[in-house]
Amino acid sequence: MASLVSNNLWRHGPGSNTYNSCRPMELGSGVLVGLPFFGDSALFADDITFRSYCCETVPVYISTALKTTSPYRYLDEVVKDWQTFIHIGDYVGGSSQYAVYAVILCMTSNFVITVFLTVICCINISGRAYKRILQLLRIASFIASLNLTIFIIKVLRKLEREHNKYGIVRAHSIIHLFSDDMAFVVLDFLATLMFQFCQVGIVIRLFQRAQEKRIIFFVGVVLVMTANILWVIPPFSNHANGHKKNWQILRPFVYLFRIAIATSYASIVIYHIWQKKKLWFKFNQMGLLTLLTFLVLLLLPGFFLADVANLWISDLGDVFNTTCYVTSTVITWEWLDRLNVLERKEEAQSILGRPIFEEEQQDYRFAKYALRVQNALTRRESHETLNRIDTSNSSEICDLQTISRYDPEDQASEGRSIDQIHFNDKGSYKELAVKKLSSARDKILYFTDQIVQKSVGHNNNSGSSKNKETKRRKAMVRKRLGLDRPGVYIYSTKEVVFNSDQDDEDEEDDSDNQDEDGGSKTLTSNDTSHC
Amino acid sequence: MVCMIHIVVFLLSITTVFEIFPLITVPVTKHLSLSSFRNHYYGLFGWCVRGKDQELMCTKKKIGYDSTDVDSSGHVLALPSNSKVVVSNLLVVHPISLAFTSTLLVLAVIIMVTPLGDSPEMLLLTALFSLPTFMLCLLCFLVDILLFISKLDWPGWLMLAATISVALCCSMLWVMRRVVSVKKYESQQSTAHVRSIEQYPISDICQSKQGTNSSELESTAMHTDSLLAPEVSYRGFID
Repeated sequence: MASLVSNNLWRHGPGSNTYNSCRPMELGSGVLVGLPFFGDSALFADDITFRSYCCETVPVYISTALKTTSPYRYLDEVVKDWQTFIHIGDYVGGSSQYAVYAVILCMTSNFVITVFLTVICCINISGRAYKRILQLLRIASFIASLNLTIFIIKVLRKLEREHNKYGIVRAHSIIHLFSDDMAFVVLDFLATLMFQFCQVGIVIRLFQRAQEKRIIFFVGVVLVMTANILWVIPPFSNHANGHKKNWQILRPFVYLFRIAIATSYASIVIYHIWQKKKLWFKFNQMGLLTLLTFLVLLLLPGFFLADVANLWISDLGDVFNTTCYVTSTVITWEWLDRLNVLERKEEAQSILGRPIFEEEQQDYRFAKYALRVQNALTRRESHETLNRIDTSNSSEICDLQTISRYDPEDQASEGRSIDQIHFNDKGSYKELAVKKLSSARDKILYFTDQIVQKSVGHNNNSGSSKNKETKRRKAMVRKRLGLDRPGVYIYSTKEVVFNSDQDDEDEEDDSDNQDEDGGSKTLTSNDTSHC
Repeated sequence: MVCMIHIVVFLLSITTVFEIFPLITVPVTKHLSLSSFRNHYYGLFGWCVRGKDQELMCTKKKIGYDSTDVDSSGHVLALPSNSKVVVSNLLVVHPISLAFTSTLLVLAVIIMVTPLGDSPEMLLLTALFSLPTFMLCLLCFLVDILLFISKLDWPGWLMLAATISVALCCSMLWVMRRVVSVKKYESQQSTAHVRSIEQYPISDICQSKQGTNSSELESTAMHTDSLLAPEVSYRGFID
């Protein structure tokens, strides 16, 4: 019973009700019928002692009952204990919510949902964009599925063992496993942690401005790490006996903290769903998917309320918890993917393309991008004309590095040529300190951007080409043009073929001279690229 | 923009008032309680029980209830949700949340009445500060629900309204940060743009149009301070 009490986060454990029928009762003399090893014969006995078949001081009842019309009747103590048993609402009582069938149905349905969403996540969701976070999502879903598979196998084996050994099947032996099975606890913790990081990635996807992405990344990672570090402290604190009472408060606090994070996540995504209400019905299944996303986002806060209100799922929350995280992450991801497709279509059809924000202009990003492309193209030309033999990769990389190092805002490089040699000129300590601090800040921002944009941003690698050489050359061209960077992409490349008037005239002249040679000359390669 | 910061200050003032109510529940005052359940009245700093003579008997004022407390009939304290009594220590988030909300209100007032409201950094700081404020407000409501479930009295339900109000303020502060950032950028751009424009008086254009050809007109560079009205310049070219 002690383990049961520690299992619960904030609620008192199941009450220890006393059942008199579990104690020996003196019935006096009488006739015993239907005894084992005696066949149909009856036996007269003087001092008969009766005790119900009990397990852990709780009577075990069979699923058959005597009819009211039967000449026999149960003992009064047995009937009294039965009434007590069925009126206890927790999982050691006789409430139908905690019947073994309901509990197994719960777990298997959660298992099916989790595995189904894992399969969808691995097969259906595209891996081209947001590759890193998607990988994390797949790993988390796989761990959750694996965890539930192992758990269900363990549960069924335990039930079988108990049935063979004691002849009973108890629901509360399953509840024990949630806290006692370390494999389940560890895998569940890992899956939840990964899902929470994926949710941070989803929120980053919702916002388009780089600064907001950075802020969400920092705040989200701090919140997730705090919640999970605090979550793992209480199990270890059990060893410190003197401070056990102080640690008791931490577990419910972190539980509420997780619910608060989940509620914040749901609020942000639902707000975004509301903002995109024009796109709800632009796609066949979009309306249905939006409704489903809305519902699954509210699952975790909803289950918290149901748990607190002690409706049904208390103590089974761990299984529902995993499923809630899987659904609220995978389905939202799928919804966002479809929304992105719709938005891209609209942007491609519009004149302006994707929206550009002021912060993208502030650091001369477009000027830098243009300069980079221009320099790359001119240097390539000069390389080709001047030094056709030496076309090694190292020189190109060097060029790109030189260009990328060139910063129009850099005061030190202002007025200098990038081809000149400069000696180190030391400034004052104040300038040095400011420079160090700013470089440290820039490095942090650089790594944040690398994580945010490389893992959550677009990844333009195409996996279709099998030819390695072609792939390498394509990648080189993309890198040279800056298309490997996040936020820069081509919406569509169209090849426009038309006959000019002059060509028509030439054709007419040619057709006069040559009877059947009237091939049209084409002007090609008109592309529409936006960045 | 001005309207938005006024709404934020108004909402935060209301939220602060809402968050003060749980602090003045029993045993600080005799008439307000976070929850009432079977003649027991629960507050932030203790709990009370109504005796046979209809008089309230309260515990000492401190955060969190004591599990050894007994009521007038000798029963050990029980919470409506069957929670462990030690969980009541989580009620400490109420005063912390009030402190955060008050600070946010002060920041919002500073933005409203000082030129700091035009600073994107100040708005970013305030918007960032609004995030833990929202989380704490939400935690207050969740703690109340956890301890008292549906037996909450109206000061407890006010926390739900406070949470929604802070969420609105949080959203508006982030919108304001965007607006200020765009405005700052536009003002910088327009200043740079105006500096780069060479302006010509309309009279010179008209005269030069009549007397000289267009190539000479381009080489004329006489700077004035006033901007050209577009319709006037249009009329001049038609002539």
